Amino acid sequence: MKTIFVIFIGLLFSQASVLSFNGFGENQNYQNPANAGSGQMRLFSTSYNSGASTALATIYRDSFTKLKISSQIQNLNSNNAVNLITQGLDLLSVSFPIDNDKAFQISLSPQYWSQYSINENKNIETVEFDGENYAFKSNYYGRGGYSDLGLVWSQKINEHFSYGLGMSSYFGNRFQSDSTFTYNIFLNSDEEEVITPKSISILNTTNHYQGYGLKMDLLTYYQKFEIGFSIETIGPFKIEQKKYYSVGLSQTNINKIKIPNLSNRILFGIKYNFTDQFACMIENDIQKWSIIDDSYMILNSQNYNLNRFSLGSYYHHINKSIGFYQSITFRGGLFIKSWENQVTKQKITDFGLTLGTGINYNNNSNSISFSLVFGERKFDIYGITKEQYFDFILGFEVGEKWFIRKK
Amino acid sequence: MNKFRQLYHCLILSIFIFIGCEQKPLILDLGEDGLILDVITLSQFSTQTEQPDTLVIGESFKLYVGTIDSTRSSQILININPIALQNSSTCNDSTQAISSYIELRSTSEIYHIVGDENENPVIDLNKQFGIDSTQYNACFIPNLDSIYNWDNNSINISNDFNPNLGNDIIPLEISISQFGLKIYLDSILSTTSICDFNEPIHILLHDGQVGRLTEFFSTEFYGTTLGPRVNTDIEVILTEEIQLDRFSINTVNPSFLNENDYEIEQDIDGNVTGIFKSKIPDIIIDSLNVVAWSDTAKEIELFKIDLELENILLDSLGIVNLFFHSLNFSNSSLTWADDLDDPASDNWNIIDSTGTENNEIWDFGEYFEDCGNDGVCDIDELGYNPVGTENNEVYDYGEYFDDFGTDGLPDSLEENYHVLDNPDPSNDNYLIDPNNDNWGNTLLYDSSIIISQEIDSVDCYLEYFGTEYHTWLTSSNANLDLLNSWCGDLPNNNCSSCDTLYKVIEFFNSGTEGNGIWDLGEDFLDLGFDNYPENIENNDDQEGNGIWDFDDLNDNGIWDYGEPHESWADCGIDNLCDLDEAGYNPNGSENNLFYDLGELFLDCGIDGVCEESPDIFDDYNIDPNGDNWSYEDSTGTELNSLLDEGEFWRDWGVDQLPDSLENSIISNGGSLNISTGTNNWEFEKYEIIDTIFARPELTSNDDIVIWVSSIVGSQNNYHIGISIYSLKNITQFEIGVNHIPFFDYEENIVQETKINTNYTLDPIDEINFINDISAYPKVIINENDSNNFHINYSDNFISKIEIPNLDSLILSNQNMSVSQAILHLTIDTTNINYHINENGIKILFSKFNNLTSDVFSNEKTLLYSKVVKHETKLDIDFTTEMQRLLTDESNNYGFILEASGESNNFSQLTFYNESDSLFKPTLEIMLIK
Repeated sequence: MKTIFVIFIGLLFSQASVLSFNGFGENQNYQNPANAGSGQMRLFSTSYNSGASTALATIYRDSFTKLKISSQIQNLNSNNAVNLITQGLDLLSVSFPIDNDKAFQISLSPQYWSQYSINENKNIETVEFDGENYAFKSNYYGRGGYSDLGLVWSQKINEHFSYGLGMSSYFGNRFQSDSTFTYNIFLNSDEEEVITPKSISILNTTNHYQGYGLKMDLLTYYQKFEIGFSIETIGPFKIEQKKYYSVGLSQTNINKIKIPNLSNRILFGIKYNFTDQFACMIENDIQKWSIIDDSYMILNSQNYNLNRFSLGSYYHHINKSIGFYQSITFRGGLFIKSWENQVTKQKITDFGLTLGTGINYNNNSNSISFSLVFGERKFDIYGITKEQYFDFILGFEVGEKWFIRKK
Repeated sequence: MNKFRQLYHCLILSIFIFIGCEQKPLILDLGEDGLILDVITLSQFSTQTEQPDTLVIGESFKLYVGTIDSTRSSQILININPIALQNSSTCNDSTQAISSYIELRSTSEIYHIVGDENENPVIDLNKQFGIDSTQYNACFIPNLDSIYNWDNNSINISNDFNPNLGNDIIPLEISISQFGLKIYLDSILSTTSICDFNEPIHILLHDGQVGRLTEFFSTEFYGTTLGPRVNTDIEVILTEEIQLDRFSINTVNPSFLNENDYEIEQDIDGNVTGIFKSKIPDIIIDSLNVVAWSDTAKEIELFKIDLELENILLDSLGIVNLFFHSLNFSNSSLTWADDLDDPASDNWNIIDSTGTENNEIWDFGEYFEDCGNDGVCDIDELGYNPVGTENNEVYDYGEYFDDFGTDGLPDSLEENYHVLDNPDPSNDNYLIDPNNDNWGNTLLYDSSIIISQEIDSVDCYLEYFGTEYHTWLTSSNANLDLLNSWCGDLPNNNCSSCDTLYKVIEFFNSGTEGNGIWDLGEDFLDLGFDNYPENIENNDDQEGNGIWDFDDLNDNGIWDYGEPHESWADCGIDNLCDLDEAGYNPNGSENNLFYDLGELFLDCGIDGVCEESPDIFDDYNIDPNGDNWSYEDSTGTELNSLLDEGEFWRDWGVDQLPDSLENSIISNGGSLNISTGTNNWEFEKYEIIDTIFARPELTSNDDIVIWVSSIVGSQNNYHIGISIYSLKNITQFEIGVNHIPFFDYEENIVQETKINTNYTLDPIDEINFINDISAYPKVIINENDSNNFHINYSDNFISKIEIPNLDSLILSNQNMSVSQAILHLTIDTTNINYHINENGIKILFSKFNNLTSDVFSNEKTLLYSKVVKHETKLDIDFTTEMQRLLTDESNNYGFILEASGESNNFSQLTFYNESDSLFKPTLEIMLIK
C-alpha cells in the first residue's frame, strides 16, 4: 500500500515533453520502456518471460502482480539553436494475473501533452489606428493535454492465439495564454523611429477533455512466427472550452463540441523467433484523425496523421546459475515515422535508432529496463527544419505476491 | 530482507518522483501563423437627438436663478418637509426652536467685498447687505408645486408661463454673502416653530436683476457643506456637574508656629484655599529653622484650623473627609564657611602641612598648562590649522572619491561579475527606481520646462550664381567642427553668411510612479468612492465599472487633490512600487553620489588640489611644533597630562582655585520624606466631637509624619489640629488640607444652531427633507434638416446612436480579442447652439440594456464619461464594451449620449452626424485575430 500511495503522489509531478505544438500536443511514446529499445514496437513483448503493457495480447504472460512505471528524459536540439531537456512520467500500470493464461491490467498514462512558450520575433508590421501607426508582438503559452485511464483484459485462447481488449477513459485539461502587445511607432525630430508600448491584451483559454476509446490486439503463433494485429478507435470525445479576456475582464460562455470518432489506428506486425532467446520484428502503425474545429486545437493546427514502420530485435541472455539476476536482454531497432497535417499537408519525417537493455532479477519478479533513442526529425515549420533528439527511457517493474498465480 | 526490499522499492519509486519535475518551456518563433492585428472601421451611423415633453432636471447638481437668455429666466423652487425634522435632535423635548433659515451656496462669488476687512469691523459674510439683497426675492407660496407643474424631478412650464401665485404669498427676508444666500423663515414661523409646522414649506426664489444668472449647488450635490441646508437656532437645556464645598475655613490659629513663620493662601475672593506654607526668611544665609533640632522627635501641633460647615440641603451623607495634599518639607539651608580667608581650607601652613595651596610645589591635580617644553600650546604654534581639509584623513565634502561602495570595488572588479547575468555581484549599487518610472526621475526628462538652450545647428547660407544654397552644420552630423573655418571669417567660399539656431532643452517629469495622479494602466480598486465592496443590491454606480472614477467637484476634467476617488496604488503603469521592483536598493553605497566609509578618496582638501605649494592653508595641522604626546610618540611633552619642565603651573591647590575664588557659602540639607498614614480623617456633620487622633507610624524611609491630631467641635463649627513629628530640623514647608466636596447638578439654557440637510435627515414617506429644482421653460430644437446631433442637460437634449453594421461585425468576429476600440465623434463648434461653460460639460455615454423605443428609459448602463471643454473631437473608449459584445456578455441595443447634471446645465455640445461626409462619427476597432 505504501508503494501504491507513493506512486499516486508521483503522478502529481508527471508532465509531458514539449516538442509539438499542434493538435492536442505531443504523443507520449514511451509507455513501454523495454519495447522502446526495439524500434518502439507496440504489438509484441520483448521482455523475458513477461508481457508488455502496451501489447495487450501479451499481458497474460505476467506471472506476478506487476507494477510498471516508465519515465523518459529527452535532450533535443534544433537548428534554431534551441536546446531542451524535458522529462516526464509516461506510464503507471498494475496487472493482475487471473490464472495461467488470463490477466487484468489497470493503467494510467499521459497520451497527448504539450507545454510551450513562444515569443514572436517577426518583422515589424504596422497597422494604422486612430491616426497612429501600431506594431504588435504576441507571446503564446500553453500547457496540458489529456491522459488515459485504461482497463485491459488479456487472454491466451490456445497455443495459436491470444488477444487483448482495452477500454480507455480519456481526461485532462489544457491551459493556453496568448498575449499581444501593441506599440506606437513614430518618428522623432531626428527622424529616428521611436517605439512606445501602448497596450497589452491577454486571452486565456481553458480546455477540458473527456472521452472514451476501445482497442483490441490479436496475436497468432505459428511455428516460429508471431503475427500481430491491432485496431484502436477513440470516441466519443468531448471538449469544453472557455475564454477569459484581460480587456474588461470579459469571458465567454463554455463552448462545447462532441466528436463521435476522434481517431482510428491500425497496427500490423510480424515477429520471427530464431530461438527462444533471439527474435526479430517488423511493425506498421497507421493513425488517422478527424478534422476538428481549429479553435479547439493548439495554435489552430490540426492533429498530424501518423504512419510508422519499425524494425526491432532482442536477445535474452539467461543466467542458468542461481544468482541475483535471471536474465539480461539486449535490444536494438530502427523506426521511421511520417506525420502529415491533414489540412496543410505539412509533413514531418522522423528517423530513429534505438538501443536498450533490461535485467530480470529476484526470481524474474522484478526488472529494470533502459532504452536509448537517437532520432532526427526533418520538416519546415516556422523556420525550423531539423530536430535531433536523444531519449533515455527508464522502466521499472515490481512483482508482488498479492495475487501470485498458483502453479 | 522483506523490509529491505520494500525500502529499496520505495527508493526507486522516489527517484521516479523527483525526476518528474517541471521543465522550462519551449521557446519558438511562429512566424506568420501567429496572431495578427486587424483594424475595422465602421462609419455607418444613425443618430437622433430627442427631447422629452417634460423636463427632467431635478437631479441636477446645480440650481439656477436669473436670466438664461433673451427670452427665458429661471427661478428656484424649494420645498422643505418639516416633518422630517420632528424626530431629529433639532426638535425634541429638551429643545426650543427659535428661528430657522435656508442657506444656499453659490458656485461663484455673488457679492464682492469692498475694502479692507480689517478696517471694517462690521464685515461679516452673514450680515445683511441692503443694496444687493433687494435683487433677490424669496417668498412662501403654499401650493407652489402645482402652480409650476413640479413633480419630483420633473417640471413643465411653457414659454408664456404667467402663473397666478394666489393671495397667500408671504415675502421672506433674505441676506446675501460673498458665496451664499440665506432665506429667513421667520415670517411664516412667527406663530409656531418649525418643529410644530406640519405643512410643506414651498419657497420661490427669483432674481430681479436682469442679465444675471446665478448658479447654486443643489441637494443632489455631494456632502453637507455646499448643498442647501436648513439652519435652526434652538435653545437647549444642558445639565452640568458642580462641586460644593462642605465647609469653609474661617481662621487659622498658630500653635507651635509663630504667625510670622507661615502664610495662608487665599483665592481671589479672599477665601482660604487650604494651602499653608512657610514664609521666605529675610536673611537667607544662616536663617533660623521653623522647627529646630531641639524640637525634633517630638509631636508638635503646628496650627489649628477653624471650620464652619456649609448648609447643603441635598447632602444626605453628612460625612466630612479631610486629607492632606501638596505636602513639601525641607531642611535645606545656607551657611558661611568657617574660614572666610581660606573657604576651601586647602592652604598650606605650618600647622597644617597637608594643604596643597601655596606649598610652593606642584601637586598632582593642580592647574598647569600642558603645552610641552616649548611652553607654547598648539593653538599658538605657527601653522596650527585644525579645520584644514587636506590630509586630515577624513573625507570632506568636495573631495574626489570613488563611488564604488563600501567594498571599494567597482562592479566590474567584484567577484563573479558578468555584464548581463550578474552586473552587481556585491549587490551594493544604489538603485531607488529600477524600472525608471518614478515621477522626478531625471532619466525620464523629456520636455516642458525650459532648462537651458544650446546650439542646434548653424545655417551656412551661400548664394552662387543666383541660387541659394544652405548647408546645415549640426552636432549630429559632426560638422559643428567646421564652424570656425566656415563661419569664422565671412564671407568665404563656403558661406556668405551664417545663422546660429538654438534648440531649447526642456524637461519635465514624466514618470508615472508617485506622480499623484492615476495613469492609464495603473491598478486601482474598482470599488467606488467609498473604496469598500458593496452587496450587489447596494452597488455603487462607480463600483465594478472597469473605470477609475473620481468625483470632479470643480468640473475641470481632471482629478484634483481632495476630490473623492477610487483608491489606486501610485506605483506607475508597471504596477510595481519601487520596493517591489527588481534591484531596488536604497541602501546601496555604490553610485549613490555620497561618500561611504570604505570608499577610496583623495585627501586633497575641498579644493581638490593635493600638495599645492605654497600651501593655501588647507593642510590639516594640529601640532606644528611636533611636541604633542601620542601613542605613536610618547616622548611628546604637550598633552601628556604631566607637568614637564618649562610648562607653566599655579600653586592653587588641587581645587585649582585661589582663595579669592573659593566658595564661602556652604549648602546643606534638602527635601524630606513625608508620611501621612492613611491620609483620611472624617467626622459627621453637626456631631459633637472631641477626638485626639494618634500619630501614624513613621517608616524607616520617612523623615517626617503629618496628621490631623485633633477634631473638636459641634453644630457648625469645628477646630482641626494639624501636627507633625519630625526627625530632622525643618526650614521650609508647604501643607495642603482639603476635603471631598459634594457633587450637585444644575441645568442651564444654551443657544446653538442645528444644521440639517438631506444627508442628516432621512426621507419621510420617500419625501426628502429638502427638495429643489430650477424652473424655466424649455427650448425646442428642430433637428430635421440638421447635420448635427446635440446634447445638453438643461433642455434634456439626448442623442441616440445606432451602428447598423455592428451586429454583423460581432457575428463574424465572435470571441476575438479586442486590443482597442474608439468611437470618434467630432464636435461642431460652429453650430449656433454650441455653448460650453468655462468649467466644461460632462458627457455620459451609455448603452441600452434592452431593446426599447423609449430613449428616455433608465434601463441603461454608463460606459464612459468625460468633461469636455475646448475639445473639437471626442474619442470614446469603446474597448471594454466591444470585447463584451464579441463574447456575448453584452448586446447591441443602441447607445445614448447625454449631458450630466453635474456640470453647468446650460452648456450644449453639438456633434456632426452621419450626414457630414468629413466629420461623421466612426467606430474604429483594433482586433487580434
